[in-house]
Amino acid sequence: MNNSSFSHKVGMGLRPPHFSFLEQRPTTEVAWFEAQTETYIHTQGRSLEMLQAIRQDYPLALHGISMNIGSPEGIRVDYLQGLRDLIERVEPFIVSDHMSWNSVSGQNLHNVLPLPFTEDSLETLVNNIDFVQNFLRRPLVLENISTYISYTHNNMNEWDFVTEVSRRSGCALLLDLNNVYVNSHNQGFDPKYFINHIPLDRVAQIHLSGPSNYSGLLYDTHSQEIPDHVWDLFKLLAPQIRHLPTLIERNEDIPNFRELEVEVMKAVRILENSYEAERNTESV
Amino acid sequence: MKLSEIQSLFKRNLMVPEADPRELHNLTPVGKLTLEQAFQIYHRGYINRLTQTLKGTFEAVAWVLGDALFAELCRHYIEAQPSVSYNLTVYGETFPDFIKDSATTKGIPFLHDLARFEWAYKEVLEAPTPEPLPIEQVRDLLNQDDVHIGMIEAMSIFGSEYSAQEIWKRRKDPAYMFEDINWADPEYLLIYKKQQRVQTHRLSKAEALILQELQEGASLAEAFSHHANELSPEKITGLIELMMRTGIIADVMPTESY
Repeated sequence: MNNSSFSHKVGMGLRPPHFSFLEQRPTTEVAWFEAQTETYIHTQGRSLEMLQAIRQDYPLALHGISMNIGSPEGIRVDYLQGLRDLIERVEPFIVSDHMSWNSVSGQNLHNVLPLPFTEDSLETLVNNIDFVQNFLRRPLVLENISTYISYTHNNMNEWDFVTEVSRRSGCALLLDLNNVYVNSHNQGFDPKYFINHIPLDRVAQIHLSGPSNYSGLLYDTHSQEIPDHVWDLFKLLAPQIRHLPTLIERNEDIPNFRELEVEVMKAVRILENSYEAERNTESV
Repeated sequence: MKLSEIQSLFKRNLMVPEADPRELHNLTPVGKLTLEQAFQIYHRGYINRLTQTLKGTFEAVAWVLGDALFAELCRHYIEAQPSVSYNLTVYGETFPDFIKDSATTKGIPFLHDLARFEWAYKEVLEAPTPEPLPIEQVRDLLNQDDVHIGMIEAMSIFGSEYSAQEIWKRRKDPAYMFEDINWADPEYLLIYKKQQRVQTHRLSKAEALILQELQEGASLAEAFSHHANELSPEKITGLIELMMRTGIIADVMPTESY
């Protein structure tokens, strides 16, 4: 394990293709793992046993895609009970999901789907977040998503919407820089504008990943190496977010562990450089 | 339009992306996409996610069919069987029966049983690691006249007219095609979990039926009496030894207190 001041900040998404490697308890540069919540809720077999074994050596965060926090139907209580049991078992330092919806009338669409940026959505989100935070007795952290469809009756921008959700509900934010980059590219806005207009003091975690590019449109596949545009945003933000946990996230076309670990080391280096640069400036 | 109405509309178009502009005036695609193309992205995401889940569980079925045919089969299945759970590992329970009824796979007689084997294997893998009764304790308890045996959750008795496991074992070996494997022999297996690992043990048909009856609640005397003509006393002793050795006995209860 790297001994720099920032080596404990950067984690990696825990994925089944890495299980057999991690079972051997190798020394890694990864400071913590983020597990996909739904894989472990209401299970007791191989997956959960693996998660508990990892937890003996690393801190864990839980990250869901199916809480359905933006649904007017409310949150499934069996889901929350399962999540609460899982939290008791693995004691995660962060529990997060997406600022989205994913299910209607009991059918799960297994996508993070966009909400209109309206008062109706705000009320739904704030009520649901309040319910979840009371149920879990801990703050929820919600991630900004990438979208391919928006709504003509939006009456605010995404950054204002995200800010308002956090302000009214007390939830924290998970800033996914890949999603900011994808939306800014596809929708034609400056990603720095987004970053400058959300309350960074409400951000609890950073995600870094890479999209796919087909005919000029970016797809949020989380399947590629992190592109320079996303690294540049991370460098830009580093002075303000280097105290936060940062995650390297890959969901598809997952390379072997050591290959993905290179991105963890790169993120650590960026945080270190940011700190060094600031210290040198101060000493001048 | 209320949020609930928008989400229902979104879902309908995600499932069948033929966007009707008269209904969808509230929605607008990003960039140069048309609305139908934008819904196609979400639709493909849904199909791909469930297809990858099925491929993870039914790895050998996917190997036998090849990518294109497996993807086609999955697409038909996903359209017929929407996902209702947030946990993807439970998706696909009815996939083996779907394969049985599918015209696409009629020419591959073992495929249904291969899928059943893979589902059973996954269920054992995802069951909690058992805590079997210690062998000495089992021996003492079996000295009673008749007993009921409580089996561990992490086990399954599998039977097939075909050698499903033989095909499954070769699924990652590029040197093999399924046509190279002798899959025509009947197969009876005990699939069980021990020390966090899934293991299999070949059984005779009579042994499999006895274990199945025990699992379903028959007493030891009942289960053995139904197959007394098929198993010698040595084989019966051997089966009890096997049950102890594999650690599939969770409890032994005297019949009178069962």
